[in-house]
Amino acid sequence: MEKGFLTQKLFIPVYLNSKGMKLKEYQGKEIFHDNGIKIPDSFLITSPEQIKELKGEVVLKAQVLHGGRGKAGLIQTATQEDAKQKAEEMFKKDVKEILVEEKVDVKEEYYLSITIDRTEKKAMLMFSKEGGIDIEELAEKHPKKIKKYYLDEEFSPKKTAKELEIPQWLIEKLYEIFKKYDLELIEINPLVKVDDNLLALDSKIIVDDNALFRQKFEKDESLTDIEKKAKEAGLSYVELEGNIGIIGNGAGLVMSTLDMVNHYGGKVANFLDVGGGADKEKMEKSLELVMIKKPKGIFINIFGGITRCDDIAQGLIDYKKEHNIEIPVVIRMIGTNEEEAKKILEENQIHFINSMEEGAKKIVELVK
Amino acid sequence: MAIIIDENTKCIVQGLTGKQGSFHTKQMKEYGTKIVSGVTPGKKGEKVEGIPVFNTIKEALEHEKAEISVMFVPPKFAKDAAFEALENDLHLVIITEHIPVHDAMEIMALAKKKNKIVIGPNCPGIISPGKSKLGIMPNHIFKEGKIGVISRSGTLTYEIVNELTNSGFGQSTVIGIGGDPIIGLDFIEGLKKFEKDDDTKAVILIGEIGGNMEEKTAEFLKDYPKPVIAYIAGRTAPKGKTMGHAGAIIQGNAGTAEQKIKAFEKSGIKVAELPSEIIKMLKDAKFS
Repeated sequence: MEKGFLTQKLFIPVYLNSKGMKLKEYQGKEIFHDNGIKIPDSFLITSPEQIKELKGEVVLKAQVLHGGRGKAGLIQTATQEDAKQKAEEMFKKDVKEILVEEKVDVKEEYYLSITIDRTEKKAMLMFSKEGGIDIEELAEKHPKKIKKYYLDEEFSPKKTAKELEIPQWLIEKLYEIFKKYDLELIEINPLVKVDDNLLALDSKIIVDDNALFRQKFEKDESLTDIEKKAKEAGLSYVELEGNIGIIGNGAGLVMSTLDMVNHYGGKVANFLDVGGGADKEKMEKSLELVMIKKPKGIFINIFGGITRCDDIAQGLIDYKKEHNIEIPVVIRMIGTNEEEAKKILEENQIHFINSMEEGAKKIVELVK
Repeated sequence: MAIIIDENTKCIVQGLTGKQGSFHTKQMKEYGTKIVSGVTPGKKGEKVEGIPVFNTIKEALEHEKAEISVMFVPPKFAKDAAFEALENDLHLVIITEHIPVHDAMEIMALAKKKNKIVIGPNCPGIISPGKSKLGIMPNHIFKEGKIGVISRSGTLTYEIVNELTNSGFGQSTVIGIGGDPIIGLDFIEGLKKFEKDDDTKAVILIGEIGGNMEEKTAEFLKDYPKPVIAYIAGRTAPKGKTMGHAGAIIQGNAGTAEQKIKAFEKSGIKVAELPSEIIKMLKDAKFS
């Protein structure tokens, strides 16, 4: 039988970039420490002067959320002599906090995580004896060296611990933390063996955004300014590279709109979903956000179900009256109160298009 | 015929007395859906659109039997409400958005144990045109017919269904399976049901970036007896950004539109580049 083309490649369903809230390394380590998982001795500084007497060699680790810290010079070993100076340089790179950690003599590095497998709808534990590198790189290079276990009714921590040669309590603890804090991902990479102890040398934790109402975490920080504003307004916004602003309702429809503008040779400046049942105010806010990037044209695509087309049209007119929009705007609407919307737009000399495809073509033509 | 719901399916609305619940119940009732009772804890004795409200599902079922519940319950209470429905042997349509992912996992585990269908969460629901609707889709765009539709999206489904209807292609059943990372019924389960439905002659799958459901479905479709046409939203989506739906995200190199399209094409499934191409492909497809 022909082997399935899917099974040849290991699918890693890690929430590396989910919309969930990422914790910084030290925040994750605090959780480890509070729950009995050992971490190296360390302290957090917010200025170089806070480095006093060191017990030995240390590692300075910038507390930022993006990956590739090593390559960016944001993780450096230091001694009493040069720690202050190195920290000073690091703080110049838009770094606000540095974790000063004892340097650990590493012999073996493991990878250990729990995440969610969307297809199986289950939590999944992953382990590898080849730790220290990125899981995707690991999956690429040594797919067979990653062991996966579904955490369902059949899962046995005892058996798994034996197979992986790691303590049973660690597996149980990790799963307990995963559930207790509503996590999408908990990752220890590397998990290192020092003497007879296992230490968590790094932490990666992502908390489910939808569960923040029952958790005590502070708000996310990994959004751009416009994305932050959008979130506050209850809009879904993603900044992109092009020059055509896009507003639509419903994530799938907006994605499809981006694809279509792109198909006809345009470049989109953003993804903006006004959501279900958007009103005049939300429309005005959307325009305000889209205009920040100074696009050369705007394409509005609304399928009126719960959303009323006339509300959207009025929002556009009101915004246009208050702010001078001199760029072309193409608006396509269909559905609830379409006729009323058409009337409002025509009274204000705004061209109204009925088909999404025609609308996409039109805006690309006008921007060129 | 249709799948999952038809004109005889008796339904319960959980969260009937809320703003969303009552608004959409009115629409569903107008469409012909047989809604026999509503459930909102503490509101027993009230009536909404002439439908009696009960405190618990058990009480509601004692009043009149039902097979399926549609839920308009805030995310905080969604897990308990879903558990209540499943424990009482009801299938479930979860409209609610923003349910914690751990809760969703628990709901799906219980559904599996109880052998019940869950549609959603974060979905527009299910409609068998001309017969019954459980959800929030606009009534007027649907038309009874022979095309089955399964979609991860809401408004994009309306967009495509509207084009189908305008081109004379009615629908047997349209299911919005939801935009969350953890959902109940998926493409494959929907396709299996459409396979058995004599009135469904072809199926349209509306997928999007994120996860690997489309890839798995492509494998499954290698031996599928009915014509299937796919559309994938998010060809231009950047890596690492959630595109509105919590589940629509390209993680590393996984979940791209390109991979999904390739997988479908490898299984001999046509993938439309624009929604309008779906109509053209349907016209070309050989089915009676």
